[in-house]
Order: sequence, then structure tokens, then C-alpha cells
Amino acid sequence: MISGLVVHFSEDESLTNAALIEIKAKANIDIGIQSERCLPIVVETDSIESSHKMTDWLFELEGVSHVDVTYVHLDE
Amino acid sequence: MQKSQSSRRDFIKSAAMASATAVAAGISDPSLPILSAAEVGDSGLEWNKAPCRFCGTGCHVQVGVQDGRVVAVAGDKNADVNKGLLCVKGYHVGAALYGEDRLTKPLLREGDSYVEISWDKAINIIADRIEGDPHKFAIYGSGQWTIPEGYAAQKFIKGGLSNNHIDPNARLCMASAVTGFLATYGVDEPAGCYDDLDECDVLIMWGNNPAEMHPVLFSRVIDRRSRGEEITLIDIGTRRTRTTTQCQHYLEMKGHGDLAIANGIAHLLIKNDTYNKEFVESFCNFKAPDSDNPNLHGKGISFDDYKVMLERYTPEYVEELSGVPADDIRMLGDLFGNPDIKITSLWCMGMNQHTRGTAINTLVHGIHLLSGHFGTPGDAPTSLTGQPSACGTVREVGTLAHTLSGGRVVANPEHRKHTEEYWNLPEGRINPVPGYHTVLMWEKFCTPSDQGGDIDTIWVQVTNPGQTLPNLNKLFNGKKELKEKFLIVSEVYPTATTVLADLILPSAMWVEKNGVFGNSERRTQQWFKMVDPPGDARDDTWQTIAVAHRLFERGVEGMKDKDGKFIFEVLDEQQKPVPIWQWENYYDTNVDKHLFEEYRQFTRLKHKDLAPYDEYVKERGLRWPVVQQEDGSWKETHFRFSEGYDPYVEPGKGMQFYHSSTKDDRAQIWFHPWEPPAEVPDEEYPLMMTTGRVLEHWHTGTMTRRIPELNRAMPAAYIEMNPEDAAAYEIRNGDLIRVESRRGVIELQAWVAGRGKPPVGTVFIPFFDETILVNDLTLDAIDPFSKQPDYKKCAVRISKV
Ligand code: SF4
Repeated sequence: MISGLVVHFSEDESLTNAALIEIKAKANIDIGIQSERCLPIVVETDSIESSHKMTDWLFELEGVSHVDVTYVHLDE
Repeated sequence: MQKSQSSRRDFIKSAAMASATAVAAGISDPSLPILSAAEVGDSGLEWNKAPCRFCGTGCHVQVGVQDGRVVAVAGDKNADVNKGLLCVKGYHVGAALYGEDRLTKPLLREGDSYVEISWDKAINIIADRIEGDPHKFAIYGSGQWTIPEGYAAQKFIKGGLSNNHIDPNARLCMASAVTGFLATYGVDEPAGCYDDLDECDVLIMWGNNPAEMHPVLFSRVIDRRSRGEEITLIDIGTRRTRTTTQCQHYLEMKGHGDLAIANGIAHLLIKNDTYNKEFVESFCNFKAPDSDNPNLHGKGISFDDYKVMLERYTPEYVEELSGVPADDIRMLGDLFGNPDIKITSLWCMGMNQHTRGTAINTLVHGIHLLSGHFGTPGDAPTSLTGQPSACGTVREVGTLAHTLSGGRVVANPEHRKHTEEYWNLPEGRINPVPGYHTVLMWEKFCTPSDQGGDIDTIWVQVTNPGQTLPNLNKLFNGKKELKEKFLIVSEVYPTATTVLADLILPSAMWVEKNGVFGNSERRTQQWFKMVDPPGDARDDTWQTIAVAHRLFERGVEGMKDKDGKFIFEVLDEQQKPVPIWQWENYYDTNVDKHLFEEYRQFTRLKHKDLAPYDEYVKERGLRWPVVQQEDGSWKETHFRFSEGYDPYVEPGKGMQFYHSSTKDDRAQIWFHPWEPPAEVPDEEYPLMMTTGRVLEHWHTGTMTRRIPELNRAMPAAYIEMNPEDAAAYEIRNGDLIRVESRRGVIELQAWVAGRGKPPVGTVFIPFFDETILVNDLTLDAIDPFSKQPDYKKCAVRISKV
């Protein structure tokens, strides 16, 4: 399961940096080029359910204000 | 093999990254999902555009098809609406086709079970029911009907059967917005569009939760903030939601407090002398309800009368009525009184599902007009719809019981004449008496025939009234005991409605058929069929035409035009009729295109002009009026009534409300008094209950509950409570609660301090769960003008089970 997401960071720099460190530590996330407060990422998971959990995890990060899903490949 | 799998995976990953990067960077040149031919070859996917199947936002998706199945969905970067974004529902929209229990065969009830029957037999059964008594037959449709589906149903019943008993579920969600626009501007639908969200300085959400209900629109606003723009967000609501957390101001009001708040703002604009005199003198009249003859015209009043009527709505009095502090009312008054900022108001169900829905809609338009916050990008009162084609199919095609296409009404002889001419029908074919609106239609259906229940057959298409009608025990479950009544349901999955159906017809959905939707911002969007429906499922338009043709074969006069030809006749290039009533021939031609081109003729009268079908094939939708330019191209309209934007405003007029009900190019500023809700808590039923939607599920959940990850995320309905109320009742998270109203009882789990936070004395229950029907509790009281029920306020009592 492969998804393209855009992570919107909050205005608090230290929270943003902390969130970024956590995101970078995930082996199944590819990081794209950040544009202002928006970071494109690709998440690869072994099921739709774990993809969903990953999106929830991103939402929960304190430095993240919003997550948009821009692409999903449904074929598990 | 290993290598090719890995290169495919790499390709998909690079496609995903390209789409996310394009969105993050806000670049206008899409790198995806319009793939190059080589890439398509590599991936084996074929991509095509479609609007999302779910909400009225009308996001466009790119749909990737492989081996006859939808396998990928991407936000469409070329679409103005969503600029490549999708919400969690849109992201899974493809999976909505593949629930395990798709209906694939026509099913006829035999006792307590169903038997599979042929389509031919099903069509005969419907034709028999209609022939039995054509005037006791009704169609109950939907804002999810495509434009051609709604148009075909409308022509069949109003033009073919001289029967106006057709109404859509949109009566339950936006009828009050319609009456609000009509009463104010003399013509329906918003003047502005989503561009207002990109331009406004202040966004006021009136009983609206776009963060969960129109997520992509809301993220468009949040995105502005992420880019450093300043925008003030104000949430006026009856409970805290995910929208509230993003707002600088949350104004918590009591039910119907909005009426008082709007009057309070108007009061302050006049008292502070900050209303826009020039705008008002040039472009507005004043109106108040006419108690002797209640209608949408009301009675004309002077500015001085208006002033007197508003006098009592001081901030302190408004605080008393609404619960919103007087200082917050002053803050709103100051914002509207400031000509240097741009204000957009957004609303949806909170203002529409309201027994004074027409009144509050007109009042919100009124404060925009009074303050002059109208007519330029970012200064607009804009209503949203919940369904993907509530505007296109219901409001524009005119599938309500009293309307005809293009803003016409059955009661107007001229309008009937136009319609009969466009349809080539004999004069007098269309019945001048409006049919039954939704609540009345179902009441008549659930009343024994010998007691005045004069609807004996309803054909439901693309909706789920067994879950969404208010007061279900009265308006739906009453059918159970009435053997003479017959319910036909065209559906894709078993639902709360099919439970009582006598005949179930399996339907094609979304990209299994051609379609055209019209979203909340006047945008008409077209797509083509991409995959086959499962089993014997067939298009709803085909179903309507097949029944019409069966009646034609039997000699039913109404199915003939005045030359004796079938009312849905479609000719091929040799001018020979294409037998579109036979399924095997239905896609020999593009029936949608034929119906759309016929319908398009209706759209000029009210300046809702549509372009030819083929223009929509090229575009990600166009906002009407779409007007042809000298060079032959077609141009959409972003803002109506405003010179420089709207091609129909005469030069030099500045602002021209050219469908004004007073025929003087002016809009009407209404006064309506505050009135209490139809039911309020009392000793017996001490809590106010409100109902609504959740992010993960779309409306009744028939599609989204079949998408495993959405269902796992939100598996069951719950009762949301304030912690103080929970403590008073000794209720904890997860406790099973019995909820009773004067109309019914349900049991469900408590969620204390959950996602939304109702104030003390209020509980919230979502309606997506067909196993816990909150509409067993709701009230069927309706707005007197729009006939829309109030799902947001009814009194309940609770106890721990
Ligand atoms: S916001 Fe509405 S139209 Fe857009 S993706 Fe979500 S459900 Fe679909």
C-alpha cells in the first residue's frame, strides 16, 4: 500500500522540528522537498489498515496541524 | 519477475511523491496524475477524471483502472476545487465499489425473503403498479442522482405521467437554502464560489463543521494560514468540533440562537451607523413576513420599519436569547461594520435543518447586504451542500415536487408551456398542482389507503430514506403493516431502506456509469464510465427509461410526445431510434449526452446557462452561467450579479439582481423575529439532542461502512456528552445508554469528552450507523416555507442500561 501525503506543520518551530525528527526516523516514510510549512511524503505499508494507522500517527504529532492525502494505491 | 515488481513499486512510489510534492509546493503544472503515455504503459493503469462520489465539495479525482477494476485514486492537481487534495473519504472512494455484498440481481419480496427475478419481470411489475393508478405513484430521489438521472426521472413522472409526486432527499438537507436565496435574490444558488475562501479576511461558519464535512475546502483555508496569511476564523455553533479547534473565536449558542445573532448584527450596523448606505440605497429593498399570507414574497417595509423591528435586538437581549456574550455580538457587529475587510459566511445543515431555516438563511444574506459585504471576491454569503449534486440535479434540474427544470415551477403556466415545448408534449400535459414534498409523501405512504394515504407505490433511487427520514417510526416504519403499499428501491448495497422493500433493483454506481454532477459552487462536472457494474446491476437512468418504454409499449398515452414518439427517443446518425431501453443497446450511444443537451435548453431563463456536454468532457467542471465568447470558447462565471464578473449585469449598473422578486434589480433584506425551536428540553425530556455526520463516513455510511479502514476508524454510532452531564448521570466512556424521545428509543455507547464537545445539557449522535437509527428519535416538524425538517434540536432523556 503506497500513499502520497502532505504534512502541514504548525507555526511553532520547535514542535515542527521535533515532529520532523520523528517522521524521519520511520523507515517506511520517504521524505520529499519541504515547501514552507508543507512536507510531501510517501508512506509504504503492508496493509490499508497500517497505512491508516500511520496517517493517524502523523495527525497526533504535536507539531503537525493537518495531513492531506494526495495519492493512494489501493492494490494491496 | 522480481525486477518488474520492484520497478512497478518504484513507479507507484514516484507517482505518489510527485503528487504530494505538487500539492505541497502549490505548483500549477501538474506532474501527476496525468501520466505520460510511457508511464501508463509501464504501470498498466489507465487514468481518467471523475468528481469524488461523496460530498458537495466536488473534488476531482484521477481514477486508475487496471483489468476492469479501479485500483488507484489520486487527487487531481488540475482541478480548481481541490488542487490535488483529497480527504480521507475521497482517498478511499475507489474501494466503495467493492464491498462484498453488492446487489447484483433484481430481487422480489416473497414473504420474509427475496427471490431473484429477471429485469424483464421487474420492469413489468413496476409498470403494473404505475398503471394501477399513476397518481398514487411517487419517485423519491436524491442529490446523488446524476443530472441525467434526475432529469430522466423528472421527465418521466411530470411529463409522462402528469404527476408531480417526485421529491429528492435534498429536501432534508438544503431546501431552506433554496428558499433563502429565492426570497433574497429571486433566484436560487450562491452568488460567490470557493474562490471566496481564498480571498476573505474573516470566515464565519454558521453551525457548520467543514473540517469534518467539507475537509478539502477547510484545508484550503488552513493552507492559507500555513503560508503565513492572516485569516480570522469564527465558529458559531451548538457544540465544539474539529473546526472549532482551528478558530480564533468560538461562539457557543443555544438552538435558534443564530436568528438572534443575525438580528443583533443588523441592529448594531444601524445603531453604529456602519451599514453601507450607498449599497443599500442603490441595490436593496426591505421585507418582513406577511402573517396573513405567508409566502416567500412577504410584505415590503421601509428602512424605518426595519429599524424599529430590530430595535430590541441589543447585544444584551441577543445574549439572553442565544447564550452568546454581548461582547461577542459587538465583535461581530464591528467586523461587519468594517468596510476594509472581506467577510465570507459559510453554512450547511446547521442553518438549513431548522424550523426557521428560511428565516435564518435570509437573515445571513441580509447582514451581508446591509453591510455591503457582498459582490467582490471574499465578500459573500455562501451555502454548502452535503451531496455531490444537490445543486446540479435538485436545484437546477428541478426535481422537487413543485419545480421544473431551469428554475421553473409547475404552478406557473408560462413555465409549464416552456417545458411542454422543450419536451414536445401536448399542451396541458404537465399538472399545475405541486406534488407532495418529502415529509408529506412518506406520511401518505405510511397511512392506510382508506384513511387518506393516497401514495401506494414509491420508487426510491440513489438514497436511503429508511435511515434519513426524521421520525422514522411515523414516516417509514409505518409501511411494515400496510400490505397495499409497495416500495421499490434501486440500490447498490442492502440498506435500512431495502429492509422494507418489495422490489430491489441493483444499480451501477459512480464510475460504473457515465455521469454529470453539479457541486456547491455552481460547477457542473462530467465523467465517463470506466468499469462495468457487477452482475446484473444497471444504470438508474436506464431503469427509468426501460419502465417508460414498457408503458409506451402498452400504449400509455403519457409516454408519447405530441407526434406519438417515445418521450425518450434518441436517434442515431441515420435518424433511426436507438433502442436505449434495451440494456444491451444502452451504451450504443451516450444517453447522458442526449439528455444533457436536451436539458441544457432549459438553463437560459434564469441565467444558469450550461455549455455543450463536450465542453465539460475537456474540463474539471465549469461554473454557470457558462457563456460563449466571440471566439467560440466558453467562459464560466465566478461571481454573479456583480459587474465585471457576471456577463449578465448591464454595463454601468455595478450590481444588478436581475431576477429580483420586486422586478427592480434589487435584493431583499428581510427581518424575521427570533422564535424558539419546535421542541425544547423540559422536565420529562431534559436534554437537547443534535444529530450530524462524522469525518470518516459519508451520510448513512452505506458506502463508507463497506470500506474496511473507514469502518474500523469509526465502527459505530455513539452518544457524545459533556463531562458534567456524564458525571451527573454517573456515565463513563463506553457505558451503554438508553436515549428516549417522544417518538422512539435507541441504545448506544457513551463517548464523554470525545471528538466533539457538546455543552452542558446537549448531546450529539451521528446518523451514519444503520444499526443504531438516531432518526427513530428526531422530530418531523418542518420549516413552513422550505418544508425541511429540523434534525438538530429535539428533546431527549437518557439512562444507563
Ligand atoms: S472533501 Fe468531499 S468531495 Fe472532496 S474528497 Fe472529501 S468527500 Fe470527496
